[in-house]
Amino acid sequence: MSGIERRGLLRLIGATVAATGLTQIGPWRAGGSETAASTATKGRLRRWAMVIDLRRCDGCQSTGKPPQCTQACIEGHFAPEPMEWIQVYEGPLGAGANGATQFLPAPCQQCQNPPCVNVCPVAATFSTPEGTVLIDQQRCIGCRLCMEACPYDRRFFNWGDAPLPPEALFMGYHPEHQTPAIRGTVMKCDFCPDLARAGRLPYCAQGCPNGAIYYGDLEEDVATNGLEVVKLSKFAADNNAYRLKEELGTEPRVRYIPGHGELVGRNPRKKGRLPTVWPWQKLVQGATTWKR
Amino acid sequence: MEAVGTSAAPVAPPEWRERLERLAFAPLVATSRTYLLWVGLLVAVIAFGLFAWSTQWRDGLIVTGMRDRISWGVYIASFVFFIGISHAGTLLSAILRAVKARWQLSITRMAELITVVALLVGALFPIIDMGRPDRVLNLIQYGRWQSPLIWDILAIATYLTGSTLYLLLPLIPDFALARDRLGPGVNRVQRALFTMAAVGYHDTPSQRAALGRAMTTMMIIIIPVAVSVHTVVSWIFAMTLRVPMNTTVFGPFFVAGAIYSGVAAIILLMLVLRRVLRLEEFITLTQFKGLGYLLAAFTLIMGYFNLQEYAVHGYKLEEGMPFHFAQLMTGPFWPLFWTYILGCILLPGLLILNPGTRTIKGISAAAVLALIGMWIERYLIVVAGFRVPVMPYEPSDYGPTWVEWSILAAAFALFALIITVFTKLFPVISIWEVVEHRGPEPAPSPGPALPARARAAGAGALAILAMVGSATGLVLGSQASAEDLPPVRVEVAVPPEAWIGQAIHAQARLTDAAGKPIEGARLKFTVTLDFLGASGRMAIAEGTTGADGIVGAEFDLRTEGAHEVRVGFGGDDRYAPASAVAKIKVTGTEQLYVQEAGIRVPGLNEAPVLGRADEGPEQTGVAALVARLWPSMSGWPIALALIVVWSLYGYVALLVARISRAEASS
Repeated sequence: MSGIERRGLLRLIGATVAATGLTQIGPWRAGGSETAASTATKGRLRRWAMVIDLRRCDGCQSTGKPPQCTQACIEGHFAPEPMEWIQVYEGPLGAGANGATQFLPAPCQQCQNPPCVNVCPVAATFSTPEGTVLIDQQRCIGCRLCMEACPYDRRFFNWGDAPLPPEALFMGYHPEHQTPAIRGTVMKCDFCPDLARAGRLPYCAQGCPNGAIYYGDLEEDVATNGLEVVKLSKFAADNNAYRLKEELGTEPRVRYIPGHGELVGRNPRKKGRLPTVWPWQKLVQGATTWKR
Repeated sequence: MEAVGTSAAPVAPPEWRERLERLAFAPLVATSRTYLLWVGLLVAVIAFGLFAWSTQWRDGLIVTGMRDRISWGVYIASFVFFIGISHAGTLLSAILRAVKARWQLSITRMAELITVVALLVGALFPIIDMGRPDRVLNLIQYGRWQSPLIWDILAIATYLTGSTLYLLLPLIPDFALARDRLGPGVNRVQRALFTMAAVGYHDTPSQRAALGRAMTTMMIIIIPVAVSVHTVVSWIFAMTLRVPMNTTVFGPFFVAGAIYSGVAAIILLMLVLRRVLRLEEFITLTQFKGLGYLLAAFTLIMGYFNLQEYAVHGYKLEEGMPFHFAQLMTGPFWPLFWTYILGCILLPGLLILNPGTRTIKGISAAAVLALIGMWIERYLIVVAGFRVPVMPYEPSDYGPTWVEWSILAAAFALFALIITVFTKLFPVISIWEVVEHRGPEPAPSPGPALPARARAAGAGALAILAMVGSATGLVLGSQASAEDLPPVRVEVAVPPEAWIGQAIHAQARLTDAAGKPIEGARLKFTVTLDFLGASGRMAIAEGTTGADGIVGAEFDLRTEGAHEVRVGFGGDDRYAPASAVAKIKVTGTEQLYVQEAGIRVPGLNEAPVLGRADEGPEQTGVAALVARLWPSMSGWPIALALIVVWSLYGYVALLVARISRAEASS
């Protein structure tokens, strides 16, 4: 049994367990007001957020592998090729950078004034009370208005039948993990609130070898990258955290600490990162893929 | 209210009138072989389009050239184009009728026909473009007033109903005429149709008055409806946060473009039907000139809007615009862009304004150019607009596949087919209106006056965009070896209890073994916390001791439970590290972080969004239906507008019923 297969089997078991616990379409869709699993403590709702420390992100240049946040996300969610729900962009470092670059891991920004939710004609994409923006692929009509509305390029469309490993087909569908993918619908980063409620970090934060991705709760004002626990507001303020395209008024839940991988020793003039891979691609017979 | 159809009729010579009737009714009576061949050709094209669509239905939208970054293409561009064409009928029939121009009466029927058919065809495109066309009914079941797409659906449905009424109303007298004159020449189906559609019209004074009132009502209401349609069509683009599109000029820009292409479409249809149906006597240079002047006026308006669009964007050159200008003017879209600007805006204007080319041929050429240009413009708005990268990635490319071209061709064929079939069902000239308002001599053309000179649009200036840099700083820490340095003592004072989120004032004091305060030492306040599997000391405050050895700190704790606030001294080159702990119990159940998801405009994100558990259990049954129908403040203007328009439609339907009843009683 190859490594990939073994991992897939383990994931299948885990997924089945997760699916049985989440047969309802989420605490908010069910209409109940008490959602024990999603409360921080005694009736307080989580307000999930993320702080990404760009000082620690070198695009996984030092590991000699593709960006591990993206890889972990892809393998955890069975995100179909070519979807990178968290994508590591390489952009110019800033004014006068003279060719120097920075890596920018971009998950869905989980806006609080989400343009995508505002334009959806059928409320298939919706804001949850916890502040995440999810998509109900069983309702989505595939009009792609949300993709035009998103100013962060963070939405993906199932143009054809997505290649999926067999175990993905056994996972019960839920908007919080979006598996299995449904043709003709939109997908994106779901911020892994299901994992967080189970006491685990999102796949991307788990995957980051440098601990650059802090996942947290604005309500409890705490965040962690799995290595250290920080007071979210203090950590953001102390390090001049900013949000992408603040001027658009989308109020993202993802904050960035400016940097170019200096804390992990990256030379900002060293460019390039390895391309992402979809490891189960070869296991799926006759899979159709497409380019972004 | 002054009725349109009741003004005193000049007497038309009987033989002229007879000729008009014969020619107008000719296609209803006889069918030529060319007609059948033409229909066969159109059906073949449509059949191939259906085959292409079946491929798309089977394999998904992967068979198109669209992908994530340019996720709309030919379909949506053509949707906008066809909806634009549909503005023809409104402008000609309603506006020109309202200003009592007479020259257009022989072509209003064609214009109204184009409106209805273009709407029918155009409305297919969003469904073809959908990833899940099988879920189209979700739009009704879960439709949200807040979505521009729903505005489109409401506006197009309203406009389609209105323009169908507006097409059928002036047809009533002609159907009556067909019923009365075309005795043996037509088959039974046609006769039944004529009798039914004539709704018992016998040209009695009361029927005339009712018809006039109905037409006047429709004439007035259809203009704002038409304007609203293309405005909301533009809003599916303008409501996004994308750089070339988030401009306030899109509404009027789209309406002007719609009328421009609509007028061109009528000229083209006029040219074809005039030739095919031998209506040269009734559709003359007068009509071509009249429409030509309108077209020329709209080349100026379109030129003005393009100047507005490119000058305003080009002057400021906000992020993304340099890229957009480059791709349009010198990049991959330059052939299309310059064809559009020079060949389809400038050239048609010149063709019509120059007296030498102001002929039927010249005006028709201008119309063809205008139609091509407006399709290009829609394509550029969609494809080039969405090609501008919103994040640091390489711009992607889009090329329509054979499926998209086939479906587009099928759409044009369907457009032509419906019009072709309609020429069999009713006269394409409004006989009674032409007879009533115009004698055999063509009236002198009162074409709209034009400004003498067109203004030349300047090209946008180029500039370099400065980017905002972000300063980064390195944090360095150093620790002296703690061995054999003199020990210190940390004392900490923290209130024993606090609410979550309450500002806690704590103090810590650092003294040496002799109790002497230490100045200038760095103290750090931490709390141990478990979160998502990670456990660690979370820094909550820090400070440097003063002369009295004391650090004051203010922080809040938002995690319920008993905590140990630990104050640590990391040691320096004088003293060894030390720490102290104080207990604090934090209680409270209040939600502290209260940012609500959704737009801040009152009501814009309410009722239909089901994701609001805070607001109690979801309503079901009638309550849910009412909640969806009367959602919130933002829904009211839309609802009010719809109520006004649809009640006027109802009034018109009532008038038609009255016409029918009048016959029954007579």
